[in-house]
Amino acid sequence: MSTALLTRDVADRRIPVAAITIGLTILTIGALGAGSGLQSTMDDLTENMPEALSAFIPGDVPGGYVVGEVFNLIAPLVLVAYAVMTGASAIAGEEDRGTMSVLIAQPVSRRQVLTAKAVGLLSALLVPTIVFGAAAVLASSWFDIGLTAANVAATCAHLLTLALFFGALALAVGGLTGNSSVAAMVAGGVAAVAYMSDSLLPLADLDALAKISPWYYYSSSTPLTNGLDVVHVVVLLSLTAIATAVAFVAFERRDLKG
Amino acid sequence: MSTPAIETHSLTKQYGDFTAVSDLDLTVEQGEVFGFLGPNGSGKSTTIRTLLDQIRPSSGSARVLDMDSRADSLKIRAEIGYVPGDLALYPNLTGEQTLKYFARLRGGVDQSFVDSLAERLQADLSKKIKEYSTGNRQKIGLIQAFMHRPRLLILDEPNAGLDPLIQQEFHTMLREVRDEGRTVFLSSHTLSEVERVAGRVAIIRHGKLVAVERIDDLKTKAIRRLDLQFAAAVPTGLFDGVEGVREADIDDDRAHVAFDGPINPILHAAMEHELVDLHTRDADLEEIFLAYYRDAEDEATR
Repeated sequence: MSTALLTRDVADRRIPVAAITIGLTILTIGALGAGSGLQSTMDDLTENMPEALSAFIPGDVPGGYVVGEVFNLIAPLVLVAYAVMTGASAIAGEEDRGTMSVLIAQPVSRRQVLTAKAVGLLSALLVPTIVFGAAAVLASSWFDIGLTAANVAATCAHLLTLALFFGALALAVGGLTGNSSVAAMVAGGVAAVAYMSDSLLPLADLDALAKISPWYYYSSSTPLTNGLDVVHVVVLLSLTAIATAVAFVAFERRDLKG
Repeated sequence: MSTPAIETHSLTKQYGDFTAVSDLDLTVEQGEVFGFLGPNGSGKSTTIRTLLDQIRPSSGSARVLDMDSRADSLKIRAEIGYVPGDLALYPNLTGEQTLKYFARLRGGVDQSFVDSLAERLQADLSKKIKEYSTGNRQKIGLIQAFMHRPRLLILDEPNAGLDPLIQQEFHTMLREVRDEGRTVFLSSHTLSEVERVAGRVAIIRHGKLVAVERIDDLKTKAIRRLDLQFAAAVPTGLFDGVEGVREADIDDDRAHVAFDGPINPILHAAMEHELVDLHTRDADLEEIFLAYYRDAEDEATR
């Protein structure tokens, strides 16, 4: 792999990655701090909610509603959204902006470019995920919420693979089409529909169908309580591998734009 | 004789029903500056990007520096410098960062040579790309293409936005490259941009090769113009039937003659009257260039 390509990619992403990392950290510490006082009130509140509404507000984790909100809603939405944007802009972004033409005229293969972009995507997700996990462990011990470091780490592993998959999906669509808007819309659309179906299908007693949603493999095993679900993580990793393979094959074969 | 720098065999690129490049056979020798001329949308960039393996031919093949354009693309790209037609660079990088990045991708280049190129083109490397004018951005593109002393330069409309003095320096740089035995493949939509540096030109239209000519041969075929001043009014039919005359415009004691071929018959006709002054104008290559376009169009519609 070309370190020059990877260094450039990481340097390009340092500001958004730093912003997401800092934002997520402040939000996590703030939410867990506020949540420790709010917990009993929120538990009472969600108890009386209709099931259709509380389906979107997972409270079934240590620390109750607020912790559930951070782990099941905020962190995954932020990371999945960033993964989709990063994956979509990786290859197709260079083509949209017209920089691919001069980049690929250097003696670097398409495979080298894509490898660097994929590793760049991984690192852009790894940093905020790790810092987020560390912040959650710290905040939990400060505010006495009772999350274990091992379970937070397990949840972060689920989180990282979930975000990676949607990033790889965007990368694949970008690799196929060379159009970053299409890549972002398709991957973002799949992520949104999958999120809704994972939340709603179980309500209609369609639990089995919910398993087609990648989100199912993020949270259904409640890793924050039960630790790592190896099978679920492997499912997400396999989906990521398939999407990445599609990106490589498609990008290698087609005509480049701009 | 050395192998050609570029050689295409029946190179064809189709997009659905549209044929961007059709059955192109082109040979560019090493050590020449070769002009690749055609109007916008005639298939110049498509041909070039096929040579670089950015797009794949529908049929036919190309060899660059005696290597297959597809199988050996990586090796080819190590030996060429390229400026794309619509040059886009990274807006948030400075000129210097941009060049350093591409230099690293090439495994390093001679920094003092980069500095000398920047000086010759009067390129300011300290600003961000997004703050550059088109011409200054183009200079970064040119340095990027020249900086590793490639055996072949492929330049797609490289004159964009360069002011005349820089263009002159750029032409000097191209001649130096040629004198070192390296090759320049220079695309343009106007002949005037390449006539001063190119030895030969190919003219492409609607994806088809129309002609390959030496610039010198083009000049002899070109229509030339003669302005004549007589002592007194001359008959309007003075140049009727004179060999080589394409057009004669006589107004009292002045005449303007457009002709091709030898000049003698015209002078003979003129000297039947008392001639005061006579003035020739430069051969208008652009005109013959456009004539090629028109001829090809006539053929296409026929």
